[in-house]
Amino acid sequence: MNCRSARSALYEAADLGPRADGGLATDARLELDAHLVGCADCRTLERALAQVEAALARWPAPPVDHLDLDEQVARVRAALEHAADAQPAVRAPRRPLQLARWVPWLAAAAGILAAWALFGRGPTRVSDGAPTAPPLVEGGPGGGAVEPEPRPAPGRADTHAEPDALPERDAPVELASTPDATSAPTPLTEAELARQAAAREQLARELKSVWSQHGTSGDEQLAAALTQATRELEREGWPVARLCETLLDGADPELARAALRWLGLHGDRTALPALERALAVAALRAEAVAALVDLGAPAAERIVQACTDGELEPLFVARLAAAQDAASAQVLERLARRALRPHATRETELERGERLAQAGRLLDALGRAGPRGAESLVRLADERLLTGAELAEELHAAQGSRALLARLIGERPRGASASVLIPAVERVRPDGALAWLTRQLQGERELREAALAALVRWNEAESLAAVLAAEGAGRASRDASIAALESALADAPAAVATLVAERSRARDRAALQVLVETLPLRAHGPATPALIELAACELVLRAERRECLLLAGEVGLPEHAEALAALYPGLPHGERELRAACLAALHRLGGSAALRQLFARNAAGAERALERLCALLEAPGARENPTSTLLRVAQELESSGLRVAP
Amino acid sequence: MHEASDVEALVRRAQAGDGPAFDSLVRLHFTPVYTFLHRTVGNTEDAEDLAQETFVRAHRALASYRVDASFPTWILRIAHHLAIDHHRARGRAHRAQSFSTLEAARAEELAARATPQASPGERAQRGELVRALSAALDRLAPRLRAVLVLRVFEGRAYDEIAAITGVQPATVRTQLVEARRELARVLGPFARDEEDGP
Repeated sequence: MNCRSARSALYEAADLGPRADGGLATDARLELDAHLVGCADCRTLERALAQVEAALARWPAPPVDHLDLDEQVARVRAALEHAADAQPAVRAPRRPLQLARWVPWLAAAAGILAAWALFGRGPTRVSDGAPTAPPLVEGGPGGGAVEPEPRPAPGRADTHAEPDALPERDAPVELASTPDATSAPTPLTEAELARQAAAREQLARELKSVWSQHGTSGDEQLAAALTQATRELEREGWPVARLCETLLDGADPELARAALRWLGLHGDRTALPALERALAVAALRAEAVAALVDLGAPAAERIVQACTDGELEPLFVARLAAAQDAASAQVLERLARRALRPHATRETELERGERLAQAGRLLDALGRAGPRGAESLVRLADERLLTGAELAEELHAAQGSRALLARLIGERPRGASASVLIPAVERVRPDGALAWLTRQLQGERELREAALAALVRWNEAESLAAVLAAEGAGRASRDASIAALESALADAPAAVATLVAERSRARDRAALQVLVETLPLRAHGPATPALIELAACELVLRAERRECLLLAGEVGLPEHAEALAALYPGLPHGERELRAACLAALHRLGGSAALRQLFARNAAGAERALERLCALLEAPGARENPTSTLLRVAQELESSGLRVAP
Repeated sequence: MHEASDVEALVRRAQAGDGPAFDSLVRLHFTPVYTFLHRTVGNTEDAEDLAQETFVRAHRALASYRVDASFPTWILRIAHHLAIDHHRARGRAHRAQSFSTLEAARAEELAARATPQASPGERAQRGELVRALSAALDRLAPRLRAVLVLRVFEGRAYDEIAAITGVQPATVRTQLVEARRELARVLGPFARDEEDGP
């Protein structure tokens, strides 16, 4: 017994072994045993098959206890009665609940509810409606007046004194007496105090008006209205930022909210202490968060610190993600980097779980933070804080990730940087991805295998060709080629047909060999065009072409009859058996009508020949004995002279 | 157990428009159809939906059914075609998820219950084997998996499988070899591990 027959016997034994009709005959078993003694390869196969059978035997039976047959009958009955033309009841795949994405929004909703609870019953500090006393706001480090800060255009210039230099809220300081006051500390006159109070009143009116009109509008509209509202005061040289700060402790929360947003949009580093104080007031928290995020880079450090507070973090994360600017993405990136690294050398499971949950929320936020967020994700992956798969998951839905990935692969990353990008490139499929993945097959082993796996799943003719070429060049295994073809046959069979046609035109014998060995065994209906292409290829052996045609007839669908009819005239007259196989397949898919249509242009008298041909193909046992049937069909074709114009 | 002649009588009555007779056919054959579909598509909900659809299709096609064929074979053939369509529609990724996460988890649990005395190492290895098998089953072409299910789990003869799947009996044999070859290729390393072990 040689290896080939031993393997055949092993498969047969595996198939018969556990069955009631017994295993191999005794003689065959003895012969096989004798071969196994001296053949390690066959022994390995025997053990592997035994593993397969054992594993299959352990496979659980489907659960049937829950089946209520009366209910099932009722459902079938209902479907018949109410949806006579119903389609197969295949539901769309369910999307798993992504709780992490909702956490920031739930937290924001909780914040809104808290604010409602506070103000829904009326303000806690009732104003008597009279103008409040001139605010006690600082002038400078020495308690003197500061230079006014006219800033007609929104800016975040960081040129002012450190916030630490500012006195506390209850320090006895004065606002600048006039817009053009010098830096010299000068006691305010009554007239100056009155002008100052009037300016503050004007600011309060303007802000209140803006908030009542645009408080619930979008950020852009609100920002434009706030800017417009304070333009006159700024033109006069009033330090609007300082005036705004004096409004934060007022009795009117709406006014305080408007002032906070103004400070975020037009303030600078000096506004930080006021914003932080507002952060501690529950009713103002949402606007303080928005203002700090709007403030941008100067507030970055404070935001990172504030995010150690579990209640504030979701508010900031949601706001940072929505901002879609570089500064916000950088803050999110810092927070994510901190969350992705263990805080302590000995972290408990609980701590680790909380940290990773926080990291998940932050990565989600970066995914929503636009192109800058996508860039941050790539940086984190490059630092090995994210795996390639995690990066792919986050970038999948991220805005601008296609363009970003196209740019990154255009910069030709190497080694580990390229490896980590592969899953994202596979998932997002930016322009140039396929060519880039194919180039990675020239790289080191880890990179090559990752690229190969991506190409295997790509399911396009070009990717299949790349995998087959890699196998030919010794950079991929036969298994990879088979896996690529299987994947494409299941999900994109048209790509396989295109591949066969292309490889046939390119006279790529190696690729065609893989296709011949793989396709027929995995063929199903949609793969029929690929089988027909293979049958049309002259480089393929005649017997294999014949097999492909018969298989096309077996698994094909009626719509494939046309392709078979188109193939027939191109088959050389000398290839009698191939022509017969093509007719047999055509007959199987399209019946005698398809044959009549094919030979429609034959002269009168062909009808009887066609009838004989159909009778041969429809005879009992014709399908079970294809060889003799094809021989008879070929003879009939020869003698009848049936022809199709090429 | 119903005799074949009883089933054929029910089919004739159903063909004549007897609703209760068709209901009886559903009751008789729903569980085998569902079981076959469950093993083919890998999850309960889809199997139930497809089994119901099988009988809806069967009802529509009753007029074309000829008594010279076996009704269970005929109904399984409809189920088989629906399963192939289902695989095509839902794609490879979902199949992988259904088999790997549901069936493998169940198989692992059952394996652990069956051998409570197994060491954690042995259990881990067994779990790995089950996962590898489920992954290998995922990778099988739907036609190969269907043939394997009909042969290994349902113990059907080649002729019967050929009639259900619409191929020649010789093709069934080839497909079974191919299916086992694929599974052996994946599970081979486990066999080697056992050989290397104590």
